[in-house]
Amino acid sequence: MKMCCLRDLIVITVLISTCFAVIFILNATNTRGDNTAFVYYYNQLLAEIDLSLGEGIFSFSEAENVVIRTDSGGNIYFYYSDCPDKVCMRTGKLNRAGQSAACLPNGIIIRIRGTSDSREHDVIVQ
Amino acid sequence: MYNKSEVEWNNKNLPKTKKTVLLALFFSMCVILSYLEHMLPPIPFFPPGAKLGLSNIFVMYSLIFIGKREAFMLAVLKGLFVFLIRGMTAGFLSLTGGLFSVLVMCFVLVLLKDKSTYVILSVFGAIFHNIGQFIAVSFIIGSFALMIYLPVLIIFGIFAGIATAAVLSFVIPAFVRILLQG
Repeated sequence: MKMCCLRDLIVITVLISTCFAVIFILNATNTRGDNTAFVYYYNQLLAEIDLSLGEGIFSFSEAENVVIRTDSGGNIYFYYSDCPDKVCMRTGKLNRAGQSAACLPNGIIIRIRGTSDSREHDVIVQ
Repeated sequence: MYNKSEVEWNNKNLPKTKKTVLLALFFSMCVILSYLEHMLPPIPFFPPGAKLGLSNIFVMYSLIFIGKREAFMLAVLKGLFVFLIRGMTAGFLSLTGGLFSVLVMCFVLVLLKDKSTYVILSVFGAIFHNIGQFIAVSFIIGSFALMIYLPVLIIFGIFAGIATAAVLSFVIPAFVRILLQG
């Protein structure tokens, strides 16, 4: 078996280009601004946090050992978690619509949606 | 010098005892590499939680030189070890990623036959390890919310796969010497 060949380079280049294109499109559509963070415990919605309201500290009875913080810059992040890997804390600050972070061992998921993504109805017709 | 295809054929017809001993040896090496990798600080520019997956070297080696069954066995053992050390979530992710990775590498081997290369095997193994883990994550949280990170992890999977293939190509002569002496 050979180490690599030209075909491998073509396949790898195509894969990397496709991934970069998808990342570019996602970044272009995810905007900063008046966003709302949705905090879930698995798929149960725990809280809707308006990120324009500034600093705040949040903890939920479903996962008491997880602390989420918001700051005045419109960011939300995992401040503390007792999970073994601390991947959630290393994810960093989220501030764009479409971004998500999760603490899997504790089942807490943060998802940001922009105001345009909100499920409010423009008009209710009876 | 050794003839790789000859070694490959001979190893696939190894006695059962030797296969069991090799599997145990590879599993212990997987455990050591996983543990060492777990102790390393996060790699700069890598997304949180992303790792090189060096223990996959032994899974790949088992698949190419020993047999598909042994490679699957190694992936399952690795998952069980992670479950014991780092808990249920990490164990489930490791098991799903490992099984997905071996399954896709088997498929690539069957599809490309003699035209398979270490790089393509390793890259597809690494990519589908991540995809398998993402499917497991989506199953756990009951949502596809984290799928937006998949393109980033696929890119890092490609680099991790190339690194694993490069390391494998360096260590294969040493492995073969051990096997031929046994």
